Amino acid sequence: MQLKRKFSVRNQLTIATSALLISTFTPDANAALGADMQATDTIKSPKNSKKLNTKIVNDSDSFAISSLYYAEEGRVKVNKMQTLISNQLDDNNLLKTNFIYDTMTGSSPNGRKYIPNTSGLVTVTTASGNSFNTEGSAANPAAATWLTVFADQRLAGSVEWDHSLTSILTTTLGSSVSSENDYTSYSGTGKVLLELNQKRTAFTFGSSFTQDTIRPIGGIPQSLGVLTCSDDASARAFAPAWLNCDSTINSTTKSREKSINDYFIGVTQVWNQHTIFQLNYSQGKENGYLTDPYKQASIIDKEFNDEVEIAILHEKRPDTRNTQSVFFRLVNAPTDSLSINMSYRYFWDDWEIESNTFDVRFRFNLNNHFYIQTHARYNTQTSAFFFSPYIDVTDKESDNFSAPKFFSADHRLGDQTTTTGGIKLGRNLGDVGKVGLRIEQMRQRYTNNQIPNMKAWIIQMLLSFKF
Amino acid sequence: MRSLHPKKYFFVINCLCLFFILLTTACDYQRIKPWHRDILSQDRAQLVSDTLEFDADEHIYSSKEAPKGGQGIGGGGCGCN
Repeated sequence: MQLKRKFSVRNQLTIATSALLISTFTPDANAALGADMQATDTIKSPKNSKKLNTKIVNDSDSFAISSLYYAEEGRVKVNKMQTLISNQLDDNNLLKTNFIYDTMTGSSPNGRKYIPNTSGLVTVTTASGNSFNTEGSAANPAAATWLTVFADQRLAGSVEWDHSLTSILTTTLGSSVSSENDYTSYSGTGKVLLELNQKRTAFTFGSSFTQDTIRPIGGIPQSLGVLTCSDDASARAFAPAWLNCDSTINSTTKSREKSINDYFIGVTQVWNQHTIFQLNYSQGKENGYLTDPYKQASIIDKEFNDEVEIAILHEKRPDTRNTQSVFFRLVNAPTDSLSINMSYRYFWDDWEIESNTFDVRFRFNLNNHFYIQTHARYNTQTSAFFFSPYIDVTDKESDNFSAPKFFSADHRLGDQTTTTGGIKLGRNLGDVGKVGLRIEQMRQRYTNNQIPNMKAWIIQMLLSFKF
Repeated sequence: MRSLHPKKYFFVINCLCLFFILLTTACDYQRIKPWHRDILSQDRAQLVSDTLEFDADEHIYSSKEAPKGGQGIGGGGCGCN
């Protein structure tokens, strides 16, 4: 009798404790943590294992909404609204639905050489479809020749379904769609989560497929085709032999496609009562039209004048790209009021881009309700092998100098350093949910490019409710 | 005094962080039971404590930098300028 009673109490205590542990809404990436989401506490006792295999799940549905304002000084401004609805369908099924609406305005570097005090009549083609003539001027960045004015909207949605097959195995299926005026993206995702070692260790295997369609206004430009040549005959005398300014290239292709296959394997380890590690390896294979149809490149001859564009071409990137990355994260909560979330990513690809990214968040609980979180991020990257701020044809007028096979002056493919610092104030609303406001500043410094460094503000309001 | 190259600064920061990690955690591995995970189940100790904050950052940085991903898979692409 005593023995039976003892097991009964233990069972109930175990289940009650487990239920307490599963008290917060945890996002998708936390699925790898296993023990904290959809936990199934299994006590390996032969007599009571069946009873204790009761699945404990996050029993509350939630609704989260975010309003993001992103503003670069003199360049792009983005308003982003996002909602995430999480429904616990039953003990084994969780459905997450996500909606995003973005509006983007402003101007971004188009790849043309940065020439201070730009003036003169330039043609500006907007990403949303309008071409117009404007007076380029450094005093009016939106009309400077190195910037392209654009306005666009993005509507996106995704659905993700988590299904627990057994106490240690969870599958996730997801799909998403994203639509802009000139861009459409469809993707599908599949993941498997395997939890072992009393859920201290979790392995995640995943794969996704993305199919994008690019429909630039005016059609797909011919890669490395001539957009325009200088009207100055003396400047055109310095043009390389392969440049044919008289050819008129009309775009006949309205759209092109690209596909992306991503593969992912990750392991998460609960190290002790305060610490979790995460280690991921990812691989991506991109195929198709990887060129940016709105990016251009200037031909410059320094012997003539390095502030005169002899011609302007469309850029051209390789049709394939293989990317890899290793990601490491540590979450540590050493005291009741302090927690640390730090990560490091090493990224490399066959475009010869290498990147190191370091991210750290310190969270201080001020009391039971309020907390402050600081965020610092640092990213540095090397340039792609075909990147240069412009095509330099100095002393290359001879016939032996051929056109580059690939070329891009997109500053995002060049050497650059991005630093971000910010702060977030949050409040836990207990069973109701949580709210937060974060303000961050991002700075980008370009080491091999003459375009001005960039500074941006990130302001985000976050609300989450349980129901 | 000669200043360090930015990449060397980054290397030094990495080493310090690694040292911090080892100091605080690697020497203290515990085979903890599920009912000892009260701290790790709290919001502040999640790998990603706020999904929407995470999504926003992923979108911003993947559209402003050449590298992307690493933390997972999925999500729609964009013709980001």
